Amino acid sequence: MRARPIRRNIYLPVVRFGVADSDWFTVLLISCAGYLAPVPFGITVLYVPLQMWTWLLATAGSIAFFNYIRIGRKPCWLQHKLKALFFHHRQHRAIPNGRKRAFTRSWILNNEAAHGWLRSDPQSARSSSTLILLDHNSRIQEAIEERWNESLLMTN
Amino acid sequence: MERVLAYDELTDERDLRRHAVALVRPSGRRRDSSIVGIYRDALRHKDGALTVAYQVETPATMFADDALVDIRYDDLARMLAFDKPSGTLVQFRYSTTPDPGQAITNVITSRALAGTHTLASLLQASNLDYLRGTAKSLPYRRSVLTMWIRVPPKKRGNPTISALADFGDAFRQEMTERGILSTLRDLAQIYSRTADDSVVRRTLEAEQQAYNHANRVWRLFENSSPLTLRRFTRQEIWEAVFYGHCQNSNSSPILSDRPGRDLRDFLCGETVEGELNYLMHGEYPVTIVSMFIPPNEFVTADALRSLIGRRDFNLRHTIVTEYLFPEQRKETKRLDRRIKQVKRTFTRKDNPEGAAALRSLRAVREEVAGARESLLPTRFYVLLYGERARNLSELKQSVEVLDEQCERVVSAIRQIPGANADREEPEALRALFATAIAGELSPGLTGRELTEVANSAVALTPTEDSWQGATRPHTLLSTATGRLVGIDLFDRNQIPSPLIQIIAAPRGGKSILMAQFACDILASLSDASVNAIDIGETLLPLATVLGGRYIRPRPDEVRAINIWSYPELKDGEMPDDVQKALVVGDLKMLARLRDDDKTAEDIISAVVAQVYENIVSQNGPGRPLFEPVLSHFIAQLRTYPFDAEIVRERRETLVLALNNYIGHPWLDAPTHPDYEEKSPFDVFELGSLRDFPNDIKLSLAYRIAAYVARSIGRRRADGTRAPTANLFDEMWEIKDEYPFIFKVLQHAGRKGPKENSITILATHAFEDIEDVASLSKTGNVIFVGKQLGDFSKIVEHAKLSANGATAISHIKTAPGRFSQFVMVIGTGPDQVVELVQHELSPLMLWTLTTNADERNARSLVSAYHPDWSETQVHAWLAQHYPRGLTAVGLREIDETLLAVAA
Repeated sequence: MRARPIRRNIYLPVVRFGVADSDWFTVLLISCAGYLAPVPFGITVLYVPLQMWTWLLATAGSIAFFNYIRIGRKPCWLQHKLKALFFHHRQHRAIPNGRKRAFTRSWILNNEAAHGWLRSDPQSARSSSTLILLDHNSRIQEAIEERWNESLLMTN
Repeated sequence: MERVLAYDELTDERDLRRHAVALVRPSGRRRDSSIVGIYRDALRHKDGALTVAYQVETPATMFADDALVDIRYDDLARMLAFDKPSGTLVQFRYSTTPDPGQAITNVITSRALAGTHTLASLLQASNLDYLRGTAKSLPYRRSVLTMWIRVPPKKRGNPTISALADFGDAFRQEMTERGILSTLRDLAQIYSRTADDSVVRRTLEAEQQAYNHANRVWRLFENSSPLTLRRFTRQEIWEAVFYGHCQNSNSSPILSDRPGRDLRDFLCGETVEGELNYLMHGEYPVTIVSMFIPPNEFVTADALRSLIGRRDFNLRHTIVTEYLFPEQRKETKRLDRRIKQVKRTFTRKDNPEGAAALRSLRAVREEVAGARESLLPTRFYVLLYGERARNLSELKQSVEVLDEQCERVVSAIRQIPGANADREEPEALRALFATAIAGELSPGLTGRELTEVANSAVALTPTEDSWQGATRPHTLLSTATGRLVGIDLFDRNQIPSPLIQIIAAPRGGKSILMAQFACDILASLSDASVNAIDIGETLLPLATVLGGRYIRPRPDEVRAINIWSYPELKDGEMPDDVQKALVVGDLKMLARLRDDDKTAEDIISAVVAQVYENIVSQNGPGRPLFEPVLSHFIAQLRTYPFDAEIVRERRETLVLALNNYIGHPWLDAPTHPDYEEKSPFDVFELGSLRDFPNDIKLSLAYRIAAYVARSIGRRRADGTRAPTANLFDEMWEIKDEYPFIFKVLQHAGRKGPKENSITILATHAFEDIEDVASLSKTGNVIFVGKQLGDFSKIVEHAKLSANGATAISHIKTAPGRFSQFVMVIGTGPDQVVELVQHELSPLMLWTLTTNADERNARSLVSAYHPDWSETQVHAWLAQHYPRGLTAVGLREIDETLLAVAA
């Protein structure tokens, strides 16, 4: 077989101090925020203005944070973690008489005007439903007799 | 009696109310779907995108020529690379489900309603039951490949603005109908009815335009696909999506014809939950294994065979490969930026990683230059479902199996050089699973993308499968990849040639496979008949069990076969040219003529025609059968008015040569009445002919072969041709001892397709039959078993690829368990090459075994119990030694068991 080249490293992040190039802007923002936030208070700690400490801490902290979420983690680890944190692990089924509104809004705007579906004769609608039901039942019966339903295979 | 206080009743009532509230407001969030409906035959997504699905025909090319597979993948890469709207997503889903034996059902349902052989059916049923049992312990697999293409909307609308417009319309309408006060009172309800739910709503005309736009893209795929695609109908795509979303369901709801119907309530009918490394989708545990590191340096088109061809991957799973088509201009710019970045970062410091990265980047940039290639972010993952779990115990068992299967998948992916895969962590699984369900494909990035050019990334698409088998099979074989396939040797669509060759070394299972075919043909086809030429009593037990005729000519038991006779003689019909040719052939042999003696042949032909003319007219309906015999021929030969002197002289030598056989009880007599009786299964044992003088032996063998060949084209009462199978075992011996039989076979080989007949030849090596051009040219179905010596001639004759030849050298045969064969059907690009396995039920094994120890065991049991029938003997042995003797390391049976049985 012909060998097809795979260049798996072409989009690997360029990393400095363990922080990907795309994350450095965030580090910069955090550092700036860390520096500017205490400025109005004019506090000094150990003869050094507080903003110098906070700047240092914010920079080191953000670098450590980006190292933590990247090294040894799968891609998008933080996003998935946060999503799991904020969203319930259970996605319950749609309940017909549930408190939440059912998905009943049509995604076609001029549906009624175009088809007059709702304005059709209720009796005839009922009879056509019965026909559909009969048709459906006979199809199910046939499927059971055949014992195998191709589409079941494709449902994974 | 327990006293119930009012307080208890109140508590109960409170509990009941709490439960009732929980029912309408369950814990967790409501499940949602990106699919809001179906427009014509396409899934309509919330964002207005449309998706269609195709069933993809998977060619059986695992043993085909590498170049053929490469060409297919190149074409597929071109299909992926052509310009498409950015955001288009192509998803291949290779779904595999355990097969409890669909092919078994096919065999049963394709059996003729009447006219089958009852005893053969019973024997076949024992084999089917055995295969069903095997399928329970280690299920077979069935796979389906589908392709889903999601085309983004041409123009992305703003859902908030459209929701506000909806709100305004509804407000105005309500005010007109019910007045301002009532409208103001219901303001909250109107808002909730029209609030932005991120669903793009369009007019019917806009929807039609969007469909037309998407349809152009889908048609481009259809026209450029190297694989045969069949677009799902509206009903099929609905069923596929519904069953994918609702795992517990056995039937799908009726799909409304009304466009615009929101289907999310139906699709979200089952809860998805879980905090562990699997989720519960309905009652099924499910997990995902993703490829995190792509193959290293290179990948070949057969990379996924370790994943799609493994016998033990029989749990329900789907291999998903997704190709996202980004805007190529942006992608190229990104690549350029990246090149600059790497240059800046690494190369100045002469960093080897940087240099390597730069080389790769430049190579990719070169390939995408001039829009010759496309960069495709590709995702590759495997979705695995466990068994249904209705309680904790079932769940534990199911999850255990699922874990094991995950490990197997991971290790299979790791077999691709350099690739690495891992099971998704619980949080990632929760985030990714929603988009892994059938139809929910999403172009959003997940961090699992590998970006490569189409020509490389395409190798991650599984496109091949085992041969699908016949639709109305009579015999079952399993493939090495775990598919149970049915074979129908009379299916002229799949098997155009009537000549089937089984070539295997001694103990390679060829006679047993042939006997299996014989039994299954009798069991499945109406009015089928089987004639076999046997040497060494291989088919004797089968003939006895099935009540067939085992004809073993002995000098002391005269039962002549008259070569002159044919079925239509009794009706007074003249023989056809083939019948005359058979008679001429026999006379030439008796007169010891060489093939190049054309004068003698012409004399014989002329006289044979005259004899038939004289005698056939004396037969007819209501008259007693009067067969021409050798004496009639000699008498006619003596008096035939030849003009030329040289011919008359030659005639005299012929008369002299044939005179010896006048009145011979075997050669100059009408056909024995035993042969006139109709029998569905006749076996002629040629081994016993050794007791005859050589000339008689040869003539008898020829007559037997002619008798078999004549049964081709046997007609039923209504004039239709009944299926006939002619079997010739040990062709190597036939070649040595009775080479003229090949001439009869040539006739059979050429006549077969028109006459609903097949001929099966079994031999040790292709060299045994290669001399007969007709046999090797018309035979395009070959079962190649284990080979001992050089088998290059088979490879050359069958035009097998290097992979096919390798498969032959890897054939395994386990006595008492299975025999493997490389099955070759047809030639050229649509040639089917498959490694198949023939498995026997214990009863079938003991009926067909040719192993010396097992034959002795059969005889021993028969001797102990002379009152037992052959079937009883085989059944007793099958019960006590289900895998035979050799497979379990025995040479003889335990006679104490026999004593107990007595």
